[in-house]
Formats: sequence, structure tokens, C-alpha cells
Amino acid sequence: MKVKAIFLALLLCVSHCMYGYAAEETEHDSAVHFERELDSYKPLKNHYNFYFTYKIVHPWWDAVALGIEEAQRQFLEHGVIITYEYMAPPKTSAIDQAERLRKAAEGAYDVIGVDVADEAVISPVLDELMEKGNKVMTFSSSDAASDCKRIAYVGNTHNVEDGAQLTEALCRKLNYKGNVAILVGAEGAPCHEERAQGARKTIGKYSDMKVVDVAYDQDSIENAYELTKEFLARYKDLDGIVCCNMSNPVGAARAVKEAGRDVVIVGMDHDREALEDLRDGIIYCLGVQDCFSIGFDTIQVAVKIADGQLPGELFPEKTQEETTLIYQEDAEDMLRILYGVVQ
Amino acid sequence: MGWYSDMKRSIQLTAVIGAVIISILVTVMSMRMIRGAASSTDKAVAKVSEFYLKELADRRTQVIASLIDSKTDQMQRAMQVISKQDLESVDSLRAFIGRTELLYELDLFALVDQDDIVYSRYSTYMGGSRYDFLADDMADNRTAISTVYLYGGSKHICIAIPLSGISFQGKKLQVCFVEIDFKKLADDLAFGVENAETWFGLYQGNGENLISMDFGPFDADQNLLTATKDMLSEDEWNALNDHFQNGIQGETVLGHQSARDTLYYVPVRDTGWMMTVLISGNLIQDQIRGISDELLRQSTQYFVLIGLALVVYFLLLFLELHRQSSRLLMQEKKTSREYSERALKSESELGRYKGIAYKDPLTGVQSKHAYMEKAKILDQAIADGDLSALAILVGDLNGLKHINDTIGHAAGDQYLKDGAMMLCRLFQHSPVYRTGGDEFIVILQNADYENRFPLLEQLNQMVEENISTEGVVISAGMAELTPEDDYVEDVFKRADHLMYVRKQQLKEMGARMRT
Repeated sequence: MKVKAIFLALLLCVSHCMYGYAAEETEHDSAVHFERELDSYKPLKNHYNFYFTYKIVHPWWDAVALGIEEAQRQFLEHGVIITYEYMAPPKTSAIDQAERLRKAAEGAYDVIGVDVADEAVISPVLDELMEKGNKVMTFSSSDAASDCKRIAYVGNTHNVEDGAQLTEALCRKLNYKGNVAILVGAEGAPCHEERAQGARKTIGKYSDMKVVDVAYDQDSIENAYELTKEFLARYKDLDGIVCCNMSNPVGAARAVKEAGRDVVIVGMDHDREALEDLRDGIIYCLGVQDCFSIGFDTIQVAVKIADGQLPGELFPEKTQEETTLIYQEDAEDMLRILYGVVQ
Repeated sequence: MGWYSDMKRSIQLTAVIGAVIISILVTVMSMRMIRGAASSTDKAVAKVSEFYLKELADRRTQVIASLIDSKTDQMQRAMQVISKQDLESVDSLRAFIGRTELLYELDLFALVDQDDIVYSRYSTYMGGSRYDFLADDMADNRTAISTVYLYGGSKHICIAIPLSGISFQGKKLQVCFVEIDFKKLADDLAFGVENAETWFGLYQGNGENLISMDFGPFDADQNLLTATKDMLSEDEWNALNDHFQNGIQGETVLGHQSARDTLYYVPVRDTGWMMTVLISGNLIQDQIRGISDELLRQSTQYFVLIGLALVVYFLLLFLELHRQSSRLLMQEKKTSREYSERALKSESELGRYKGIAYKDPLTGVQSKHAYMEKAKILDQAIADGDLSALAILVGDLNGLKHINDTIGHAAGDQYLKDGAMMLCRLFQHSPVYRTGGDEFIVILQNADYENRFPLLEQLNQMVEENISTEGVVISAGMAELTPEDDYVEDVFKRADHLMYVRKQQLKEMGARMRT
């Protein structure tokens, strides 16, 4: 077991050094860090109450929630009670998110955190809340607009790079020739849009490669499946698909398997079905974000913000979390690490 | 001596064959018993293993079932006492949940509203994508037990019961549940290793390990069904798969490396989980085999002792038989000798008695009884056609009664002796019989038959001469066997008739009585 873990860690380190961006800035030995401990900061209060809202009810944010729960548990061990709400709509909606935030602003929350559904819509709302005296932070994979007054962000700070690295892997696999379609998640969701932006930019570097289509699945596997079927029907010479969120690669892989086509799929995140498709060679590579650490660090930063601390020595304005590209040979270990499953 | 040797050899051979047969029987029975003992041991191991494993699995299964029942009961009791005050705000609801967790020592107790919002002691969160059971229809008011796979590999048990008639913040509370980490459950129930050779596990129907603990040779993260594929035949593995997927208890033997372990599995009620017990094939087998070997060793000793006893017994039996047969044979020999002696003696006496019976004591010629015996033999020869040359001479002494009456019986006896002597001297090759007081018969065969007429003529001449000298006068008649005769009696009758004719002639010739 230990040997396997060390092997995986070395493998991931090597892959990260080759393609990584976060690796230059953070030290890690795994795609996900479950063994986290609170830093040395001493909270000023013994009870904090937070409100968090995110894009959509989805397993990806359940993974983030586990990091939040672990941090809450560790604070409790230190005698600090943290209560929180962790809410999302069943469908991504910036309007719904804005309503939730405004309602939360009326509550007795020490900090309001948001995974921005649409930076154009939500950033002004956050500014509004800040002006009303609320302490607001962003977290997860989507930050607000760069001029937003929110206090800090914890999460993926390199979505463009993630999209670019995934696409680079795809281009290399296709020997820098071919037609590529891009699946995106929610329209306006910064993380999804940024990854798509990184994908377009990468493909644009190669003269023999072309983006033939772009579609949004609204974070729905079923939509991703249908959209991919349309791609496959429309583009007989389709060579690859770049998937920018967690639902994209699952739906895309289902459609490609069904059609029996030889299409290279690269995508994001750690959905179990996607990992199994990676193991089975249907998906070429996946970018796995450290959701657990996102959740864990979100609570740590929220406590400090609640205590009136500002970004600086205690925490950065943007806490970066890692994304690691994993390939077929890593899939078994990732399935074991994330889901405790070995087929 | 030859008969005695044969008898002795037969007895010895019988004893040896008997000993060999019984020895073979004892040996065969011993071998069968040893083989039977090994087979019985294997059966016993299987039975004991099954019983032992079933008992172990059932016990823990019951503990889990009791735990589920207990948690269900606790949740029901908690929801019976929830008050309006508890439902006034998120804080009051969390306080209620916290009290319930403390009261029943629950890791996580939560309520879920109609929008799948989960209210726990410290948080409120969306449960739709985390808890599969929220997607299930719980309208049948049954306890739902499900497995929650958490990011990071841990697995939890969720025991949920439906709620009715309780609302919070204008929304109906539809479910409450407790969540238990399988690892904690496994620790509480002492899963994993019972001893060095017994392991407990809890698996999903698809073979996934629920308790993240090693299960015998299987790593904690191994799928049991996948891992056992190479340890079973295709049919056995398919059966195991079928049992796991359909919640059927069973047992199978896994072969890995040099060991053969017994896997017993029993479904946990209403959960879709399979309680598994793995026991090293050698554990029970070794213990039972030890007992069996000891019994076998003792049995072998018994058989050896019985064999030795039989050898001694047959040796003694052989010696005794030999002794008895020798004694018997000696006795038989003695008895036989005595019998022979007695027989010889009897034969001698019989001969003597026979001689007495066949001999006329007065004259010394053969008696009437001897004549009758001889006549039977001759009759048989006539009947058989073996006799053709035979003549009968019937002689009657004249004047015997007169001598007895006048001179005395002594003179009469002497007269009879003289008459017998005359016939014997004349017919030297023929038997002479005295068949009545003064009646004689001579059976002429061979040379006397050939000379019958001269001999008769000579007799008659001598008789006629004796008339004048008052010597022995015998009236004689002779007849020959003819083809018409069936018996000697037929010849006798003709001779007797001729004797009377002659008697008349002699009387006319003046035959007198001797004075």
C-alpha cells in the first residue's frame, strides 16, 4: 500500500513538473491532500457562523464540503465551534445565487463565501454586500471579477492554465493535427470559461488544429452526452474533445463509447465514472483539483476574515489550490484514493 | 500313517488359511477405517467450519441488525419529543440535533427537508448529490439503509427513517438519518482479525469493501469478487457473484498460494451488505486433524494389538488343534485298531459259528443249512445262465429207525457216520450234506459230475454188497440239471423220486437192518 502511494506520488510529481504550473508554486505529493491540519492561527472567538453558496448541487462540491467538515471538526477539537450553511441551487443560476447572497447578508453570518456562478452578475452583488458591512470571500474554482471588493479567494487560481494544459496534452496525443470540439459547463462561470479560453488559446498555437464547435452543458451529464452525440454526428472527422468541467467528460465518454468512435477526450475533475473511463482508455487525461484542500482552506481563511484579518501575512488574497493531470496509468490509484475502490 | 498325515495336514492348512483370511480382513478393515477416518475428518472439518463460520457471521450480523434497529428506535424516539421550540430557528434545531447526538451517542444525526436540505448539528447543506437515499421514494415508511461513498475513500452507513407531520421554516421535514463511519463500526464490532487465522469483513453486493480493513489475504481496498476470481473455478466464482448480488448466504473454499481458506458470507438484513468471515483452512482442520490423528493413532494401536492377539490366538489355536488332532488321530487309530481286532475276532467267531451252523455235528459233513445256502448260490447261477453242469444225488439210509429202536441210538449214530463216510469217500470232489435224520444230498460238479454215472454205479454196487454183510445201505437217486430247470429244487425232486425208486429196489433185494 505504502509503496503504491509513494509510486503514485512520484508519478504525479513527475507529471506535475512536466506539465504543471501549480507545482512551481506549491509543494505536493498527491493530487489530493486528505491529511490536512489547521495552521497555528488562534481564532479570536469560540463560535463562528458562515454562509457558503456555490454553483450547483453536484458531487464536486460535496468533495469540497468534506474539506470544510474536516476543518470544522479540527476547530471543534480546539474548542472553536463553526456552524455554517453550504447551499446551492439544483441548476446553475447567477440570479438565484444573487438572491441567496442578498438573503444571507440579512443573516447573522460572520463571513459569506461564494463560488461565483457568473462573475459579471455576482461581482456587483458581492461589492454590494461588502458595502453593507458583510465580510465576503470567494472560494472553490470561480473567483469574482478582478475589481471586485471581496476580501479573499480560496481555490483554483489557474483555470486558464488548466484548460491550456489539458488541451496541450490532447494536441500532443493528436500529433498536433485535427479537429477539436470544446464542451464547457455553465455559461458565464469563470472557471469553465477560463478553461475554455485556455483551450482555444492552445489550439490556436497549432496551424493544423482547429476548434470546430463549442457547447455548454450547464453542469449536466445528460446535456454533455447529448451535445457530444451532436458533435459526433455533425463532425465525422472530429478528433478530440476538451471538457472544461466535471460533468463534461462523463457525458462525452458515454457518447463516444456508444458511437464507437476514436476521439481523444481530455477533461476536468474526479468523477468516479470519468476515472473509470480514464482507466479503461476512453478518456485520455483528467485534471484533478484538490477539492478537499479548497474546502479546508476556505474555513481557515473564513475564520481569519471573520476575526477582521485581511490578506497579508496570515493568508494570501488568493489561496491557490492544485490541479494535477492524471493519465490512464494513474486511474487505479486515484480510484482507490478517492473512492476506496479497486476493480 | 498316510491317512493320519493327510488329516494332520488338512487341519494345519485350515488353521493357516483361517488365520490368513482373518488377518486380511483385519488389515482391510483397518485400511478402510483409516481411509474412512480421513474422509470423516474432512467431512467433520467442513461441518465444523460451516457451523463455526455461520455462528461467527450470524453473531456479527445480528449485532449490525441490532445496531440498525437500535438507531432506528432512537431516531423515532427523538422525533417523538421534538417540540415547536426546537423548530423555531436553525439554531434551535441544531441544538435539538446536538442534544439527540449526545443522548444517543450518535456520530451524525440530521434532518432533511423536502428540498433535500440537510440540517445537522453544525451545518446546513445540500444532500441531493451526496445521499442516494434521498432520491428514493420513502413513502412506504420503511427504514432505508444505504452506503455513502465519500470523496477520499471512506464509506458511511446511513440509516434513514421517513418523517411526517413535521415542518421547519415552512418546508416539510421528510427524513431523518444517522450516519456512521463503517470504520468506526468495524472497530466497535471488532472486525478485521479475530485471531491469527480468522477475519471478518463487510462488503457491498458488488464486492466493494465497506470497512476499509484488510480481510485476510485481501487488501482493504480490493474488491472481493475481483480478487477471488483467480482462486475459484468459473462456476464457483459465478455462484459467489450471484450470491453477493442477490444477498444469498453461502460458503466457498478459496485456494491461494499453498493455503485453502474457507469464506463464509451471510447477507445483512435490509442493507445489501454481505457479512463475510474468512478462516484459514488449516485452523479447524489442524485442530480436528490433530484429534483425528490421535484417534487414528489409538485405533492403529488397537488394530496392531488385535492383530498381535489374533496371531497369538491363532498360534495357540494351531498348536491346540495340532495337539487335539494328534490326540484324536491317536485315539482314532487306537479305536480303529481295536475295532479291527474286534472285527477280526468277530469274523473268526462268526466263521466258527458259521462252521458250526454249516456242519453236521454228528457226521462231520455239511448241514441242511449249508445245503440251503449252497442251493441259493446255485439258483442264482442257474438264473444267470452261468451253470449248466450239475447233478444232485439224494441218498437215504435204510434201516436207521430199526437200529435206533433195536440196538440204540449210539449204533444209529454210528450207522449215520458210516453212511456219511461212504458218500464222502466215494464223492471226493463233491460236498456232502446231511439234510434230514437219515437223508443225505451230494452236489456233483466238475470231475464228480463228469464221473457221475460210474460213481453212482459204484455206490449202488457197494450198497448191494452191504445188504448181505449188513453194512451201510443207502438208497440213492441221481438227477441232472436240465435246461428246463429253474432251481436246484427241480433237480432235487427228480433225484428224490429216483431215490424212492431205488429204495424200493433195495428192499426187494432183501436189504436188512444191521443188528
